[in-house]
Amino acid sequence: MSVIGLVFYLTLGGNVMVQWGLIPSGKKGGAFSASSLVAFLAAAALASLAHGLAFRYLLSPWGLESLAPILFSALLFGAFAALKALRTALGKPSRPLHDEGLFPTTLVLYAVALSIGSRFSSTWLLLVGGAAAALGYVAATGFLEAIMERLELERVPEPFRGAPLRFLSAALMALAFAGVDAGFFSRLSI
Amino acid sequence: MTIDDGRVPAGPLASIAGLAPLLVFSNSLSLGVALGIAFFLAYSAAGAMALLLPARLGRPAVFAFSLTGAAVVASLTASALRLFDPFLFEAAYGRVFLSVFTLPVLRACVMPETVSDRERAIESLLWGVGYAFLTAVTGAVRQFLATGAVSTRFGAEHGSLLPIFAQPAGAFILIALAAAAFKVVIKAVRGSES
Repeated sequence: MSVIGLVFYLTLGGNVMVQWGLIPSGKKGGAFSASSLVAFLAAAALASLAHGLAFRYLLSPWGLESLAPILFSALLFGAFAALKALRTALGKPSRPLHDEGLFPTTLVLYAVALSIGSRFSSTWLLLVGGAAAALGYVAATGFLEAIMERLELERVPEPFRGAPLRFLSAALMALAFAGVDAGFFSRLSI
Repeated sequence: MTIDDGRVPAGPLASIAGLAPLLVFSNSLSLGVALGIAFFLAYSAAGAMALLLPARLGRPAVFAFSLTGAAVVASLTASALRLFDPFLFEAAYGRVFLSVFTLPVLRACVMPETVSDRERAIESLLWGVGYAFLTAVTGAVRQFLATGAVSTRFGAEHGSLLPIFAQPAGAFILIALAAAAFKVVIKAVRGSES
């Protein structure tokens, strides 16, 4: 599959938001500034690369696949410490590791790393796949937030307002993506 | 994490939304039980370490140790699952690993700030049991809706009733209906109190 095909697949049929249930919450769920978008894509690409290579060359040969979450935790702490040191050197404040605002991002990064790391073996595809999966997530959250904004204008029954409506909208998106996957991408070898 | 419009307490609903990665994958009883047990063990380990580690370590260090502890427990759970049922392990290992990074577990890794928070450890443990039970029940319900039967053996599902419930979309629909029902119940309870 070409890189363009890979990006389309990970944006639609293989989208991590619907396949892994990573539904964003609140009105800021789909909001990304340009710099944070680039940082998120880079983080996803590097997480996929590091996790994929470590899984393939470190854990699998020794039959230690079960240690993957410990490995990812170590990678996470290492990356966070490096980022914190960099920001401190630049004189910028950094958020603490236990900041609740970072939890959803951590979850998405691990889901991307798990999804891509187990699917590809080459360095290039791990990098591109990680970034494409993150891009697909950002696009899907943007679609979902646009749907939610539009639905605010509609007369929705009171019990369905808020979280239930968000999940119903995600369900319809998942159906649409599954249709694209079944009709097109599942016929390709990935 | 705020997932509703503020008219219903965000706690339980928000945590159920945080469990969505597990609920979406839990489409059979065996998968649901495996994921529920993995989640509960990771959640309990994280909560216990965050509670018992000395406060002088500082919140970032306690968080890091608790998360590592939860990851170790998830690794052990995955190893046990591999011995118990290799096919189930192959199908579920990604989600078992991901259970460490679900929002309830990450929140449990944060050291309690106040004495009253510390005294609610049993309550947190009961919530963990409830979330694990919910994951298993979701699996059983989705399996029944999708195939018309519930089987304790992984991969033994036959028949077709409403196949959409085996897909992620089916999980989202179930979560939405459950959340709406929860809001109605809360509203009714509050109405009867006033």
